[in-house]
Amino acid sequence: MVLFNAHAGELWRALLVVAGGRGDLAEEATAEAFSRLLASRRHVREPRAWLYRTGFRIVVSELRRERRAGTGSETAAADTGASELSAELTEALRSLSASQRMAVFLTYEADMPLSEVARLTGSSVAAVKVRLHRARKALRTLLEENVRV
Amino acid sequence: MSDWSQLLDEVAELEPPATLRGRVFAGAPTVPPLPPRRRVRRSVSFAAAAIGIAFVIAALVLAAHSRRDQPAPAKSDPGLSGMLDAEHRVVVAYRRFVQAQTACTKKAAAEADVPGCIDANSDLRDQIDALQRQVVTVGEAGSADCKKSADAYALRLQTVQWGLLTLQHNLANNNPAGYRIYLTTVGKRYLGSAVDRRAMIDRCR
Repeated sequence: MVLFNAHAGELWRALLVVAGGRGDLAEEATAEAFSRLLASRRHVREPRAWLYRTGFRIVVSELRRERRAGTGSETAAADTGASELSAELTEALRSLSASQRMAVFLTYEADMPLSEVARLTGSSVAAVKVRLHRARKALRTLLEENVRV
Repeated sequence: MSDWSQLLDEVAELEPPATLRGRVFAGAPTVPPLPPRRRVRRSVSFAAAAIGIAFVIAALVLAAHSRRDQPAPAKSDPGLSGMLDAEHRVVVAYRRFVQAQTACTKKAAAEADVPGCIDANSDLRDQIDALQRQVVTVGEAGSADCKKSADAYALRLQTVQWGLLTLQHNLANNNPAGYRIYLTTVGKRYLGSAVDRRAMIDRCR
């Protein structure tokens, strides 16, 4: 219960960003991550990092499955207004990979230091820096395109 | 658009749905009314779900069959024998559940009676509930080791229950993404329960 109160909101928001604004998917992944944590809490040393990695994997595998099945969830979300985020943010997120989205959220929205982002995502600080660099570059490209249009 | 910090500002104001807490802790998801916007797309979304379901159903059938090969507890022990009977009823209900998933998918694809599909799954939950009670009873009557392993098995069965509840919620709420996740989850959790079952029988016989 303590863990849920402390981390559920932020985890859900992080997964919402990773899912490109798909609220249904973010909710499923958050609920599933906490359910799995409850089932195997004895073996989990770092619950917070475990929750982020598990939730992230669930969202990514579901997005990948939908892409293979050709349901095009993220595009559909943006086109039909199913995204819970603004059109501007949804469009910007679509230019990033899932791991870049997670890094961007944890760094720019949750204000975490790089070392903490690396710990939560199970990667190195160097890898996080690369993701953030590419994310900034993607946003710059998008801005330039919009200016041209 | 200026930078990511500015863009992501709107996310800070969002709050997770109120149903999230209940789904995690009570394991009893609320079933809100079907959103009209999504009803139109029911046939399309569930047809896509059918692809994943074929794989899951194969896993479910495998799980049901694998139960036959597992060691049976001593017939002389009334507690364990009662548990064996309860397990047999779960296996029977599980097979019905597997068949129902096939039928339900077809029905959902044809926009037919979803509440009927939900009812088809409830029998399995009832049987697992009965088995769980039996497992706890056996554990309480046994040694400390036996009780510990019985608790682990009961918890595993509880996670299957949670998965089933959420599966029903997703079917009623026409959430194909969640439906696919939890159908796979239920299959995996049921398969995983065989390990805890074996450990419990070894310690409690």
